[in-house]
Amino acid sequence: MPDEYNVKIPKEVYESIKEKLKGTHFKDVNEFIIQHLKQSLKISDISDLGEEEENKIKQRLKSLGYLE
Amino acid sequence: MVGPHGGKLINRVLKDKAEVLKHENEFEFIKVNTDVIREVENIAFGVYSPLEGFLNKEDFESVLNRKRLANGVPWTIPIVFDLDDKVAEKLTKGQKIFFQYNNKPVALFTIEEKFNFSKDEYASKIYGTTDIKHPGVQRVQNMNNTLVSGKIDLISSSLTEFQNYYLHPKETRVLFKEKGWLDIVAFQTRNVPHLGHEYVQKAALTMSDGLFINPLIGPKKKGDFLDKVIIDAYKTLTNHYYLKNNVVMSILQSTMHYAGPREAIHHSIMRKNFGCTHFIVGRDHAGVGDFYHPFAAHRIFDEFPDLGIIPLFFRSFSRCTKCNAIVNDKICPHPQKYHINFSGTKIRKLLSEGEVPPSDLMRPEVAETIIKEDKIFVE
Repeated sequence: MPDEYNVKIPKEVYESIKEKLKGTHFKDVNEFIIQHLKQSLKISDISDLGEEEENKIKQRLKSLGYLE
Repeated sequence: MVGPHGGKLINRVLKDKAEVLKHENEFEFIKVNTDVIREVENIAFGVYSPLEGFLNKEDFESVLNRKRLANGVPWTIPIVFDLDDKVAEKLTKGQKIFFQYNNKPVALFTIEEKFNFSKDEYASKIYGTTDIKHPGVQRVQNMNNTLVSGKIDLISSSLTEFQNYYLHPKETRVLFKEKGWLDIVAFQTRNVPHLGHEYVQKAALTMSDGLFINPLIGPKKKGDFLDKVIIDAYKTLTNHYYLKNNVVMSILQSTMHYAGPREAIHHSIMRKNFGCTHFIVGRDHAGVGDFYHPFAAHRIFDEFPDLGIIPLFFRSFSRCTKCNAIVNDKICPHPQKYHINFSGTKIRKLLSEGEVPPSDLMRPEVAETIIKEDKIFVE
């Protein structure tokens, strides 16, 4: 499977996003659309915490009463 | 879950402390105060992601002029370290120094750059004024003339007060994931809760999975509620009037800048790093006196389509005697004469006299908790 796919969007939508992104930190329209889709579809960014650290955090949260 | 600001959750907490502490007799020490320690810990624990240290000149000027870091990432409040000219003059690029707090080394600071700045320009761009009556301007005018940039490595956390409520972004992110929350709304506060606050929080919570109440703990003005009072009041409110599974409270150790609109963006960025998707912005958010238009902190969000956290704007709210409900100007048709405002001054006066405010202003349990405290206000 390829790492990336091409998706077509109408020219007017592309142009209006491009206009909106002037002066922002997005390198291009692609980058904005990826962030926007992840946000609206609630696609998680993979956590870079290891299993051991995550378990340690869960323990602390339990000891403080934040988790049962 | 929403990604951290700038794409990476920063962790500048040293893993091998012993290795660094071997240099205790070799590196110089600089004594720092609690305000600096708060900034250091916020950098190290990722609250200020993507910052890894204090701003350099290019980023500092970019924040002043464009409200963004030099790489274009939104950033509105300068996170800087000022140092006495005579001390700064001896420091060189690449030099490592220890920050000393409570007589022990707490962080390693690697010097990158030293630069001077104009206090008037700083004040006018960040606060929109050079009026010395503005508390933020006063702070800037009291700063040293030299700013020193560089990365931070935290050796140990020193902020032990309210430790049980001090969660870091990587911890809140695990907590939200464990709770199964996807839409998380953050509420910033530096006050005890009255019914108006509860209305705003619950209106936002109705449309999301979880509410993150995040009181700001730090230096306050005379007459402000003490940090402990705010925490205890919220504990009582959430125990009695919120579903346990839908609300989390933890503190944010930070300085209040009173920078109005710019600070609303800064507050949003910090909550995004905690993993929140939405942020409540009220009327005159982070304002002081009449330095800002009441809705300037709403309008500024138009400049940041790339912020990555959604603001929820609330206008003024009050109790309408005709509706017999808490209302805002978008939902109530009745004229002003039927509206009772949630007067902070009135609530404060009653509490300071040991009286419980009327239950349509503040929950009696919350008021009882507050008046039971030995001291309520900063003296």
